[in-house]
Amino acid sequence: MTVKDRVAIVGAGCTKFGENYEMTYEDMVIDAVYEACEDASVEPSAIQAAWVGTSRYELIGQRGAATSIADPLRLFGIPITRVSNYCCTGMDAVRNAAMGILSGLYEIVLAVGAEKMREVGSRESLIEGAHNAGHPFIRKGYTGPGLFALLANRYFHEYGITREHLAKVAVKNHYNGSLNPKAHFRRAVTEEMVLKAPMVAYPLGRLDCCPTTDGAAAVILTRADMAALFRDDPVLIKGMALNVQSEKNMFDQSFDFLGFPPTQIAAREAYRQAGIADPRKEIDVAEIHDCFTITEIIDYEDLGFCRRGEGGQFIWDGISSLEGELPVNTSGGLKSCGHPIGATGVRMIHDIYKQIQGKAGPRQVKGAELGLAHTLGGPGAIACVFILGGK
Amino acid sequence: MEKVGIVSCGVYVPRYRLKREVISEAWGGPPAKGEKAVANYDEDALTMAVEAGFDCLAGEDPGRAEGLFFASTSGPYAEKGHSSLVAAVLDLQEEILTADFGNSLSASTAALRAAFDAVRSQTADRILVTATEQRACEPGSELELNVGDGAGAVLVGRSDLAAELEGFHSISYEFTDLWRRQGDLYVRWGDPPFTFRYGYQKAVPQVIAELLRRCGLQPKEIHRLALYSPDPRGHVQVAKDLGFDPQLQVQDSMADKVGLLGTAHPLLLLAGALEACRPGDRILMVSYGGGAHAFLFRATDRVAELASRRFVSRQIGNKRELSSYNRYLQFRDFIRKEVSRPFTRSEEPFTSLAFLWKEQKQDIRFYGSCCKRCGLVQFPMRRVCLRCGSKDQMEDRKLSRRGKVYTFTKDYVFLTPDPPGVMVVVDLEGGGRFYGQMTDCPEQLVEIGMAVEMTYRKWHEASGIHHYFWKCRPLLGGRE
Repeated sequence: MTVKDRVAIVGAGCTKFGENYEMTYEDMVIDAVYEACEDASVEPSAIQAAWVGTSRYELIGQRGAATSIADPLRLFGIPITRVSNYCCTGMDAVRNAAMGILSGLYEIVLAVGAEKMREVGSRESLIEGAHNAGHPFIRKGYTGPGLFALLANRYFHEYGITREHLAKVAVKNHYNGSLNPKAHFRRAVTEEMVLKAPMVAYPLGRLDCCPTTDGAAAVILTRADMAALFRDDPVLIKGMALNVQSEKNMFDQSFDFLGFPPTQIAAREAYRQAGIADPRKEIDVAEIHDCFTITEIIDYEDLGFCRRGEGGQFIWDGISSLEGELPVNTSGGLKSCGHPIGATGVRMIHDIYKQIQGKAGPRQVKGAELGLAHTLGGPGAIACVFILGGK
Repeated sequence: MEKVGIVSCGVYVPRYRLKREVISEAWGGPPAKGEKAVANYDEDALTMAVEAGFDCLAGEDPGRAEGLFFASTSGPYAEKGHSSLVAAVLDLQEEILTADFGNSLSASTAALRAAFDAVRSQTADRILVTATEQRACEPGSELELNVGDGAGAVLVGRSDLAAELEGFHSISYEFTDLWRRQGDLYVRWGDPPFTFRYGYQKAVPQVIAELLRRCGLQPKEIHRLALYSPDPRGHVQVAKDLGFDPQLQVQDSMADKVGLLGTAHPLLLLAGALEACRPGDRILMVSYGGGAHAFLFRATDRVAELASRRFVSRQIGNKRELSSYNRYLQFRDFIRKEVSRPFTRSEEPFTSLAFLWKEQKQDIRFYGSCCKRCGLVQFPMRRVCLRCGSKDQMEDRKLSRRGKVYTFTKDYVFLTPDPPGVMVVVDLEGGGRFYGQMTDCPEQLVEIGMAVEMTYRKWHEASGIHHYFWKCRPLLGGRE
């Protein structure tokens, strides 16, 4: 079965990302879904099936099931499925929704990603979770920044790049975020600020890390052949792939801590579906997983934007900047938008959708026709890649 | 009578030293000289006994030990044996005798004597005796200045002896000088002039004189008197009174370097004496506490090999200064930083007695799996091979405790009393990769390629249980 050009995105919505202390999880779901429905000119009651991506319901005191969106949206009487797949959660919800269309069972479906991380302190939100969850000993001591710092140090050792290279990623994404009204951080930073920020997990300083953030995003999907009923500028899925590897990769002696096999494999599959031979030349704009600055550099290589070991030079040369040959994270990325886990992947698809429609405002990449979105979950254990394009 | 004696010995002194002047400065007391050894925040009497055990078994086959004795007044459990856990961590066999000796500062020498009796009566071929202390002393007290943390171990056997046992003698002497009731946090002590004169000065000369008489020896025929004293200089006084030359014959107490290690101290002194002696030398080791035990050893030709390991001087020399009294209080959990409490949502790491039991071989004995089809050594243990996918074709594989750092980070957000948390990925010698915490390592030292060693450490408390697991530390004697 081919994937290319069979599913269309006809609506997208996204809340303001940030410390949304005045909103509940449900408020954000309502805002994102109604914005997507309005964008698609459909009533919520027209939705035939839905997928919800939320990773950490325990942060809002819930157990986690599809009712978490059915109740606030009054979306009763249709199948709704909860998806949870680490940081690929939201994007995998979209992938499952697209498979719902591909199956022929449904004509209008919803995918929503939402995460409320700041109902509790940022330390409780992730650090405690890492400390208390899982095996009582094995891996204990890991944190998000700590895991990616393991790669950074090995990468520095192998390829000789420095914290200055990482800082360029932060400067670029903060600048892009300053242009995005929905981003968590809307402040440009200098290289000096990045290098002098307090250390989080060596060599990653505070400005090398994405923040903990609240947010929700939603998309409405339909059959490509029905898209014209909703709008004249639908965006089509050209390829989509999910790849799952081990979350114990740090114990695997074949893992070199220089790249993420799930990204490499998912990208290869998505490029095959989309018929992409040279991603650097063919892709016009990309939203990729920059939970930490080192991650974006490694993503460049895993996604085939450059060869292994050349990610540092890629950012140094400005290829991924807004005016560059292949602009990356024009939204500001996880770095500036923030990273509400379940929302992130849907937010990326929302941003690429806007780029392809030419509605990205001051961040618009001229003539963007083909875009890529990529999320990476767990310690680089899961990756999801979407290729989106116009007609 | 068949010969029995010491096959090997081991010592463990934790890396950190607290200068006594730091303690006296904190409390405004008179200046005090020297320093004491202080266990890291993730160490206790049990983990230090393991360390001394590993040191003692270096180059020996752990499978030959037919017993393990654990002696301490400060073991982490009031009820539940420590010896069985120490034996498992050291990967000793299951068909052996394990026993705990406690309460008295002569527990270690009582265990030693029981070990010699067992070996001599041939109910065991070799027995490993460990003695360890991490005694809690009241902050600001005089005892706090003198009491240090550490452990010793002796492998007792009938063959391959580095020193033969020539005789021993014990006396029981009811006396109250140091004590701690059930439920007390800190050790208490009686009036020093009285307890020294009517306790130590009575029991110790008596046991030494009687052993020398029974062996038909004069003090001058003893090359090294390894004499424990609860007072840093008490042993010198008693040695003089008995006619020993304090300069030439009396083993340095090391109290100014490591403090007094309670029931582990006699084993530390014995190891120090063995390290310095030549074949044919006689060593007299004496303990004190609720009586006294004296042992007379004579070094064999094999002692040089044992002494070449320099276990005592190496352990004492490998040190790191604990910079402040506050940090010491924090290591001992006497004070806690509010933000360093990991469980603000009152959650604990997952705990299950059934789970802990199932995983003993991996989590305590440190085994991984080796695929019989493709030969890949893997940790944690697996049923389906990571490389070739074979199902249930694994054999258990004892992992090496040594390896090299593949990559690392220094994590300032992970909650630890000793930030930053150093996390390392280590390729173990002979296969298998470990990812986990590094301890005893100043952050500036960690680097790719660094040689490390696995060490069994205290982790968290959950469900009222002490949880232990493996960490890495810089290889002792490696590049530091």
